[in-house]
Amino acid sequence: MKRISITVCLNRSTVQLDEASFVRLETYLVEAARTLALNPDRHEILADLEQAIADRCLQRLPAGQTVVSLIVLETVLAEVGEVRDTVSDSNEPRVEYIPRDTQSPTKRLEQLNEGAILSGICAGIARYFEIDVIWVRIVMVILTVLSGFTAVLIYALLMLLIPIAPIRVGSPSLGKVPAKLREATAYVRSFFEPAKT
Amino acid sequence: MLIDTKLAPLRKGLLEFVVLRIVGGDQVYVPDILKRLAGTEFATQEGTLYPLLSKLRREQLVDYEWRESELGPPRKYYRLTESGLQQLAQLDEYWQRINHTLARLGPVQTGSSFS
Repeated sequence: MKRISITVCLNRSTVQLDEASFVRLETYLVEAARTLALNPDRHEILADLEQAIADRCLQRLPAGQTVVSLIVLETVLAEVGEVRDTVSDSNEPRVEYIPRDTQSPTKRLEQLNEGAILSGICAGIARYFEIDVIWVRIVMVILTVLSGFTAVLIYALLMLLIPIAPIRVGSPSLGKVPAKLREATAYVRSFFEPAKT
Repeated sequence: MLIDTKLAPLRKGLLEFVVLRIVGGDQVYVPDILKRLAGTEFATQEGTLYPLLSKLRREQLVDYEWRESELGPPRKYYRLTESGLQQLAQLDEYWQRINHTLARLGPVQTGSSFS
């Protein structure tokens, strides 16, 4: 059994796709949404793109056909082109998307020098427990204050005891640390500021 | 191609200027802009143009209005705002200045050698 067509709504138009083109279009739109993740106008841009795709599909449908085949869709997507964002296209290095479960095949407590403020103890603990590093750092600061700086000694001890993670190719050098620090403080600050709309 | 790796960022940087020029000429919708750019050095696609236009709109340089279409759903027609017009004038002026500077700095002689 095979589904002959899937009717989809692309912004303000309705288009019929076959199974293969449905899957292809879904992949394209998910990829586009990911590219535009940081863009404040992403919903509008995606709606515009959907409309452009629908218009082109309807133009390109061979006479007598109502269902958009993969061949037609591929032509249309090639015309519309890959989504390039002006927001995330800035000078910031692109963050590679690494699925969580491939990050460390075996779970090990390590010092993560990349993205570290001091030695990466907090980052290592955060990765081990799969939580955001900021929480570990906050707990660390609170412990330091409460324990009368005993926590600093513990940190130093952990620096000696926990193995250092091998640096991955393409990981930021130590020169990037101040930027990371800025990022972290901005993140902390964002908790105390009212959300911007 | 080595030369193209040098020219590509130049084109990319100028695309915004070029789009402002087109939108400044007349109220246009996206297929018009694509058509005007097709076949030029700045030929581009919706995937690039829509994010760019939305950025220009956030910067309040362009705005759009919906217009009914006989052929399908309503269309967005873009136009320059007051500050868009000003910025276009500034960009034009700057471009002129660059051209003058280039001309002043040295003659371009194609095919010449230093012998």
